[in-house]
Amino acid sequence: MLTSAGMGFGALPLAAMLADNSQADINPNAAKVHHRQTKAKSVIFLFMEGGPSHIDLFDPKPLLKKLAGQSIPDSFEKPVTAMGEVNSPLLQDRRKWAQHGDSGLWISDWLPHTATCADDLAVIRSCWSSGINHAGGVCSMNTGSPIAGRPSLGAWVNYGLGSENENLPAFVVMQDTNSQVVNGARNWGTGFMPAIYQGTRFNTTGNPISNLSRPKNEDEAVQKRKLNVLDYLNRRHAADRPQQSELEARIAGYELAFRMQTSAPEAVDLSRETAETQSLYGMDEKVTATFGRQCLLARRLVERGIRFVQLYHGAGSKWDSHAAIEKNHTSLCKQTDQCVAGLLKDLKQRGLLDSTLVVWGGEFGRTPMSEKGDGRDHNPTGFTMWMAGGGVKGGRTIGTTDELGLHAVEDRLHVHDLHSTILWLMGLNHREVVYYDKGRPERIDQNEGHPYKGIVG
Amino acid sequence: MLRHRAMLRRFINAFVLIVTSCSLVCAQEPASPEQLEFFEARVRPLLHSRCVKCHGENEQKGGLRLDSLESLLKGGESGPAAVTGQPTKSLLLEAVRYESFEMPPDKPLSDQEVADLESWIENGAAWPQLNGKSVRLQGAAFTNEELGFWSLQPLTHPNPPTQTGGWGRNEIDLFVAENLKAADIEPAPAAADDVLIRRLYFDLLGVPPSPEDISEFQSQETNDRWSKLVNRLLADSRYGEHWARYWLDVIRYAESDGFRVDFYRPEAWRFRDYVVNAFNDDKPYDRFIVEQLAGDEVAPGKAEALVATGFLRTFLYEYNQRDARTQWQDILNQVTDITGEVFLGLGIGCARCHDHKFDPILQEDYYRLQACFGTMVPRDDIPAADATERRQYRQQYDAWLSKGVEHRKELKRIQAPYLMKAAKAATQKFPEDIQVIMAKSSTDRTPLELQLADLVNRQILYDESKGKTSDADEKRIAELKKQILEAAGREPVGLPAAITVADLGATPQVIHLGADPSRKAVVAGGVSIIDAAPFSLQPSENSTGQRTALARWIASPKNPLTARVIVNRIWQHHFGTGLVETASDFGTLGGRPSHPELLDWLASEFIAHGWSIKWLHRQILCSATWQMSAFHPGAAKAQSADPGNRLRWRFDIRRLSAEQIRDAMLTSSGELRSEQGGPSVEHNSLRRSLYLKAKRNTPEALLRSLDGVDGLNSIPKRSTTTTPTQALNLMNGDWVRERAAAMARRVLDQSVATDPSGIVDGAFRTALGRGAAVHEVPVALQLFNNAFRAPDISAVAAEWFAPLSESTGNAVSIDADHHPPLATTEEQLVVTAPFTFVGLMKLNSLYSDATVRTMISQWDSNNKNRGWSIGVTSEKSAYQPRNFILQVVGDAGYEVVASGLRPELGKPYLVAVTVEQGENKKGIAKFFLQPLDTTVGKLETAEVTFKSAAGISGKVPVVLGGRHKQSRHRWDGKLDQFALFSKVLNAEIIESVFADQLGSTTVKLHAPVAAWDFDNENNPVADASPHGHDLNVKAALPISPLEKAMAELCHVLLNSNEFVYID
Repeated sequence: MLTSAGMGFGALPLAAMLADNSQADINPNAAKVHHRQTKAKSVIFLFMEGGPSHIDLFDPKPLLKKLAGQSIPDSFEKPVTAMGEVNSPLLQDRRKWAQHGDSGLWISDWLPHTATCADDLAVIRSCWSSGINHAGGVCSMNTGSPIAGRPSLGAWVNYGLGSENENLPAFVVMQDTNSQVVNGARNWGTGFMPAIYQGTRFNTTGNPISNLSRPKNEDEAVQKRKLNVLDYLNRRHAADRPQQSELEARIAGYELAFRMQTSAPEAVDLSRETAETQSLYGMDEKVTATFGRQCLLARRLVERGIRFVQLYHGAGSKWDSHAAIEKNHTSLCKQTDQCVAGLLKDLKQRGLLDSTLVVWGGEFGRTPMSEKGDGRDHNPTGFTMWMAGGGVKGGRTIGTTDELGLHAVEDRLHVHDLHSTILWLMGLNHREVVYYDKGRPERIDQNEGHPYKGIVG
Repeated sequence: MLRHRAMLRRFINAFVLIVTSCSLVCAQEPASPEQLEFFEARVRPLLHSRCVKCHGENEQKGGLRLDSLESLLKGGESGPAAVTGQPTKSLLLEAVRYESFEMPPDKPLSDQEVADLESWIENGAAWPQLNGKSVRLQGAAFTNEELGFWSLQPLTHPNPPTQTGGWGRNEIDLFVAENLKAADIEPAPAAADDVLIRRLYFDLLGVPPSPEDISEFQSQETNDRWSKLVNRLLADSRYGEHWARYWLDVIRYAESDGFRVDFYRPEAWRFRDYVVNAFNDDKPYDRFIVEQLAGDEVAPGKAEALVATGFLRTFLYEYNQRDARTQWQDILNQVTDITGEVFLGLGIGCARCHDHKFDPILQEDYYRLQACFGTMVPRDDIPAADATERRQYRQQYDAWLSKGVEHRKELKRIQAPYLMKAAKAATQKFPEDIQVIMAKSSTDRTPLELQLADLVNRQILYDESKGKTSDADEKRIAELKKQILEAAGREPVGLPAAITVADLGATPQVIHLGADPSRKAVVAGGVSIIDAAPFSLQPSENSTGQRTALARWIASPKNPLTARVIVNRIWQHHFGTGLVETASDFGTLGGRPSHPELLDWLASEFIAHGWSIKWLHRQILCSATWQMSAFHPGAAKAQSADPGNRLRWRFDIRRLSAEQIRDAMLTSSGELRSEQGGPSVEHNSLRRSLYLKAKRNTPEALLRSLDGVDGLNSIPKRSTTTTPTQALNLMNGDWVRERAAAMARRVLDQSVATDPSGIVDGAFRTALGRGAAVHEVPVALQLFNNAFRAPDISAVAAEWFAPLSESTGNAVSIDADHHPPLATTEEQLVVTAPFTFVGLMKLNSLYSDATVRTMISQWDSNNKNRGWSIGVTSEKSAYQPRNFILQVVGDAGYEVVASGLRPELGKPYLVAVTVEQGENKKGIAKFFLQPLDTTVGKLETAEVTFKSAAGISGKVPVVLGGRHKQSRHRWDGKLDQFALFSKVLNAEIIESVFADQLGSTTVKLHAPVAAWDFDNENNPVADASPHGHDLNVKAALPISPLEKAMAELCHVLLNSNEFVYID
């Protein structure tokens, strides 16, 4: 069992017990052992922020066409909706649906490229969450609770498994634009855990981390001299105080920071990728260039042992299509579809798909009821996410929603179950990744989740 | 003592148990005291912990209940569970032996437990009785282990040990020495003076002592110099600023909502000031508790007490949550959780859904506590003012309302339909059941409905404020407002609003177990294991008195947790670790006290000394235990006996908190502002960290990287982490580098030494409170390279003054690195409205944070000091980036006047601003902006009114390209042909000035009060007007290699481990 009482350094009995890990007392984030042997080493979480419409992408509902324009039948339990659209007329989807791959997975014409990877996708149609608004929804999908204050999924994975690259942060977050993701940086924060497990936001162009590079008026020789003086003072100071291991850790922290000055720019340097690879991700076309770039960066990061990469597409709720869903989703699907498919194909051809779990989804789906005539409201009671790679058996669907896609009905997977499943795929027993906070043994799922082990087939 | 306590508890339990009504056992012989004792000691705990969960009040698996003798004898679907006196015929024994049923299914009982059950049945199955009937085991029964748990025992007052060997200064030391002696460890010697004084300043005030403070203390020789110093610092108001932070951490104080739209709470700071004042005034802790939980009930007429209830308003809040029922329950849960954690040191959140698995906290207890808040509603309309002030204001306001009545009526008539429409639209977004509530009149609503309606109304008000009005109505509304103003005068300035709460009335609202209306009602009460009786309430006319009852129960000397918890928190902040290591968990999973008697002695004395926190500080700080050195001659041996230093054989080296580090940097640089209290300030401020805006979604980055809090969780003890982000922030971040530069200037200014080692020594003293060691000087001097040679000014001068565009003469360069701003000399140049500024500029870049590129100013950036400043906004500006703006501090306080004109980077422009006080005493600013390429481009203008241009004259020199004594807010680019006029030049004249490209004849014609064209070959910074306001050349000299090298050394020192760790 991995536990900690939040005492900062030396708080990780497991890490401390690893005899071969001499770093344990200095670096609590050193790589740790798995509870279960798996191939999965990294997660890439593609977060479509704002809530993509499951019933227009992965979960076709013929009944919706029949009942279009009518109110939802009384036989359906009425949810609380964000904009009060419970009784608005049902809105039919305008998609052409087809079955794809050997598996015959249903995917709409909005995602033609993703459709070519159908046999790799496990499409979970029965997701549900507790947040009806963006803040609660995004917070739930990241932390398991609609109210702020708990550690994020990436932080739990990082806490559970540690890092395999000493020169880069173990948990990296990128966004397609500089618009603020709903709730901001706390989405990749650590709640009640120490900051060491938090996500680091990478800029996708220029300097990947703020304050990474030397100030422009400080030349390299000066910085080197300063670091030498600092190191001298710190080592003399630490030598007199052997009881305080944090002092050594802080010296190491400065060393890591300055190794990052070279390793981080190298990790995000896409000039090292061939034109063919760049084109696979859609980087040669304007509409797909931005997200393609991020997906390719994500691959480079997992190659370098980064544990958890989270990409936000539509930062600032751009998928939130209360009105004119046709226009909104046409554009956003186009921006992402080829990039996501490119990522899956590239991971596969490099033999990385088995060791990389790719997760796609938003904070919720959208209602079958219309809003403002041609849009859809938030739907946290039933929506779709998919997983691929990392041991997941592709080419199938898991769970169902009701005939209108409003509520998840069969094999319902709450966000807690999704988180437990992701940990399980990463080789961690979510019950045993425990952090003690104020007398409570805290777990990612607040003791409510169950891993869906059928995901591996 | 413990035993007695447990007996007493059982006695009390017996009375709260339900009397069962079955005749089966009535005929039984009364059990002997020995038999009953056996039941209490062996059987009751067993049944309670292993059986009744599935076979009790809530569940009766197999139709069986094991919570009374009657039901046990009656049995379930398989027949009687036990036959008195006949263990072999008792199904219960078969089951626990796993012979038939396998019970309990999770884990079999131990052999001893089975044997106990057997002998209990054999000896007649004695069960406590009341009036001849057996009393039922209830949830409220606890095991002996639980009843005897250390933190729930009454506070004792142990006598300090006497046989401790003479070491020490006060009682604390006697307790510590006794344990050390038992472990055969010698205490460390006392720390040296310079270490102690630095430790003390950081500990009490949160900032380091000045070199003068240190030498003054060292020069004193009296015996009481230490206690005098402690008392002096306790009386210093910076003490409250530092210690308030700990309380704010633990109650998770913040100034924003913490959801998607992280709305700022502009009045929240009053609560922060309340806490600062409470510490400074040494408010008795019991009173501090009562005010925060029930200030509105105990002192409704006192502003301070109302502000104190801001504690109950620190919850996170989502402004557009339509699921009002869940939202309200979430709010109640947040308030309940935080109350338990903060005051009782118990993590009670587990009991929200079930009896606590580890601690003796029942689910019912959670809702007993929650019931105390069940009748309250958040209020934002009660002024933070004393009763008389409120009355006076009300009279003024009523008088104002009584004038212009007809206009007001019309205004209402026009506005009403808009408000109705907005309200209707807002309400329709809620579920139907909530809409039904909103359709009722408020008198018909239940208390819960009123609470839900309050949440809905907040959203309605928000939507109303966003509504749009037709142009015609908008026009009429403006006219009417003007007429009302004429008839009634200005609306009286309102009283500040408290963020507070109030009860809905005198009758408590019913709260249900599990917040489930189908389950039983729960009344206000404390934690049952401490006190099972419900609170007796003393309602007032408008309030239930539930929160007062809760507060008094918590703040009672009899509550075993309250004093222990706060004493332990204070101890922890002094030593780094509490006597109980888990400051917010005094439950079974938490730590046990290292010195239980000391904890009790301190807690009971603390109460005896009027719950005085300053008394506690004095005891601790004057103890030899606190004054120990961090270095111990026999550390190796002591360490092997007590690796965690729980016995306190030396002082622990500790990293400073984020705020201490940031404030120490400002202290070292000499820039720390001394203002205390008031609204919070932007993150680039030079005030203490306590005063930076605390937004939950965007905490200040440097503090956050040093484990500063975000106000989302209660933090009893901060973690200390070392991340690369932290090192990058400290090494490469602008803010720290600017502090280092300011510190370098300060050290050089103050230095009397001229030799290299003397200058280095000054830097060490300023940052670390000690001189540089002999071996450190040559190392530090590596940074100085050739810095001690005189700088070559002439080489940079050519680059410094060069034309800005082809058609102009020389301009001056200003930038962050080599070319600092220029300033007028000490003789005052008085600039006051009306005035006109005209100039020529080129801007190369914007600040990436909220800092303004300043062209010209007469201001020191302090919002409380008068002045004005003209510049261009940053990339992150709240007023759009690259916005040509005027900032003033005048009679109406600080104002930003944004033109909306947006000069492009890298292009030369003619600029002008006129400032005057117009009609109605409003300020008017006119902005002119014209690109200056080879030909003159299109002139853009903007006119903006603002509150007041009166009194904006600054008391500092006029600065070109920056602000008075500020390293930030600098220009980056060139400035030329700057002129100031003591009148408003009209647009025509300004255009003609522009057309002439500021030809000196045109300028002179209008008699500038100062003009700088940088074309004078002998003195490029001379005033071209006759007034002699030459700019300060000394200040404008490029930063010298010496200063630059010094800044590098200071930067290293601010990054050093010694700077952020104290011995």
